[in-house]
Amino acid sequence: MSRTNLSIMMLVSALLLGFGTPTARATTYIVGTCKPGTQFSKIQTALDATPAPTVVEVCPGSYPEQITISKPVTLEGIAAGNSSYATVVVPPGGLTNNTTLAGGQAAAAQILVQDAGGAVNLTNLVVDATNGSASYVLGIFYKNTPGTMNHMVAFNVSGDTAGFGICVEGGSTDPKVTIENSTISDDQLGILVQGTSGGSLTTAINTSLVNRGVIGIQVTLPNTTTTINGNVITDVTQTSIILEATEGSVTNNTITGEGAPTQTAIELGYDGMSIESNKIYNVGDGIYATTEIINSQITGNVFTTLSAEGITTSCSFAVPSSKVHSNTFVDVGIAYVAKSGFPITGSTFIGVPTEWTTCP
Amino acid sequence: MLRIQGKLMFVLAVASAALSFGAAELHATTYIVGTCKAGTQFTSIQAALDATPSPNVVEVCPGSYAEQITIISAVTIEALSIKNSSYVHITVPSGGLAINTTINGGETSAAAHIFVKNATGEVNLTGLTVDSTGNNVETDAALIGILYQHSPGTINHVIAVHQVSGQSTGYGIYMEGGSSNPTVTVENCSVHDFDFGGIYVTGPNGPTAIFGPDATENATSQLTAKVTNNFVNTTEAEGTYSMLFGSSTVDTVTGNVSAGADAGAHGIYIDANAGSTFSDNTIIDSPEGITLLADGPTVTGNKLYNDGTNGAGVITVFVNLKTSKITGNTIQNSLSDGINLDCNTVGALVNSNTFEYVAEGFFNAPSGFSGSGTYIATPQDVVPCP
Repeated sequence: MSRTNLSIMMLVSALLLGFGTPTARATTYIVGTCKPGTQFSKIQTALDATPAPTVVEVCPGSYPEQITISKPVTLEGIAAGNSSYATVVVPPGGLTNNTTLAGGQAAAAQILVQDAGGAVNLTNLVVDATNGSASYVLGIFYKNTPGTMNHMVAFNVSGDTAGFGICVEGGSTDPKVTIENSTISDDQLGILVQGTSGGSLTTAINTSLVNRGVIGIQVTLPNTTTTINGNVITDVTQTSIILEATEGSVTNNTITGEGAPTQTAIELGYDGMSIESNKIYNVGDGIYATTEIINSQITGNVFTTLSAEGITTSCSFAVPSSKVHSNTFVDVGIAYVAKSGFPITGSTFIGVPTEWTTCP
Repeated sequence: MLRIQGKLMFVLAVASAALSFGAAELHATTYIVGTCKAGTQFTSIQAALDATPSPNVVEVCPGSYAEQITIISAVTIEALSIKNSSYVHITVPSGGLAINTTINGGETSAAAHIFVKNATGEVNLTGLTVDSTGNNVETDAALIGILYQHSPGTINHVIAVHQVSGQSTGYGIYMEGGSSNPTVTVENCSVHDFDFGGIYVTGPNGPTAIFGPDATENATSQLTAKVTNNFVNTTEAEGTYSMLFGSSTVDTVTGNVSAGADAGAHGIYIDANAGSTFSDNTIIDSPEGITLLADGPTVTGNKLYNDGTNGAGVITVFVNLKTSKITGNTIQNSLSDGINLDCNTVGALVNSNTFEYVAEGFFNAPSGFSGSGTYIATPQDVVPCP
């Protein structure tokens, strides 16, 4: 190796070291006693300590707390000994309202992430709302804050009016939020993506499990862009996914039900979001559109064993065949319900008594 | 030069042989059942099958056919999609289904709705719906939607439904092998509302090590099954099996979805021979997700959600492992054990599985077990054998 090459390498190394320095100065706190370091007994105390932490590592254990996060931080459950179970549970005195929803309603969030001004990342934590009671109960609430929830669990969240496993709201900082590899189970509404007039919200929901409850995932206007990809949504009693927004897509999800005619896999309440390459099994209705379809693309979906209809579109509007086509129906009573004249192109029908019917 | 000419002659001979095969295809005998398409028409599927010359292809118009069907030679039966319908609905004839064979090495009488009997060439079924509602099988005889007995072929895009008998002996699709080791493919099917077995794959003596003596197992394969991209679902009864793969079979089972079996179904029950692979299946709401009774098959990349509801393992290993690999599976959202090793020795063959929100990762792990795993939100990673 020539001397010049060597000095370039040294320069590069020095640069890398220089970039490395801020990480080296990261403030890491431990909650619990499973790992050496600056230890706290409560998650909230660690978050509130000075200097403010960049990382809070939570030992396996049960933490009866309602947590507020208002600065950028990474909060993660860590494995120790024979366990990887760090669970945030309802405090003995119950939940208290600690925030408001975009609509102005007071709400009690177990983990409230609010106007943090930078990314808040949550990993490997269980939020268990058993015995939590309030008008609105939220397992995790991201309000006007970007960040990633990875390998999170939101379990058993219900409220007197409504319970949301995870709620994400936009705001003035135009946050981008990712939910991935998570388990959202037994909540009244699994994931609510709520737009606000004050700024945009970009949300990605990937490879998570949403199980039971009344509604799986709901996306609302305004100013939301949402991608829902590769999730498994099972046994939701009413609607697995409700789309009431203009931007984004629902792709490669697997949706199963228990065959009840009242179960709808995907409800399209607003024209815009695309629904492509999903697999839908054993629900009542596959896709139920209540809107005129001009922009939404509904293609490449496979519907198997539905007790009601495959794709039902609004009877008030003709459906453009360039937007709704190439779906597969197996063991479905009626594949398409659509306004008279709807042309079926590129679709595959197996064991379908009625491939198309006009509106009743 | 002579030598080159010789080669050329050989190529020509092959080409003309291929042409003559092509000619045979052109002379295929195709019959129509129903009146939706021009051709030689029949009113029942059985009448078309029994006609002379025997058909290569039977195309069935949308409609309802109250028949119990027996197929004894190679044929393709396919549903037509015409005039807004693709529903070929094979229903039970008045009076119910008759007992027409025995299974389990002759031990159990069976009423098969579509019975493929010792066919030496491929029998292919496509797009049919077999609905055994009103079957009237009230004895302890087996009720079977589609039975391939010692016959090869492909079942594609077929729907088997309502195999519910008076005695909980209903099976959706049942394949029983034999000495010729037939290959059967089941793909893109929906099998639901049965009261015992969804897709059943066995050697000539039935699922012997499971419900009979081990001594009748064959080391060599008696049936080669490919089971891919099917949907299997039942909520009918406790103690049912979405998919079962018995001894003396070699199986490739991938991309299937078993769901909604809260009442008590096993997801995939495996007693198959070495060389079998069970991969990338999704099993939802099953009290027992995957049960392994024989060393040999590999179980990889499966996703198991909401399983283990009766306290059993989501994956249970009931045998010492020397060959089987259990790797890359994801077990998510279970109140039970992720992988129950039942104190069996497994060496390093069980590794790289992921446990997400599972009460216990490994249960009854043998002493010295150090299988790697990814544990997320799991209170107890490994529970050792007592």
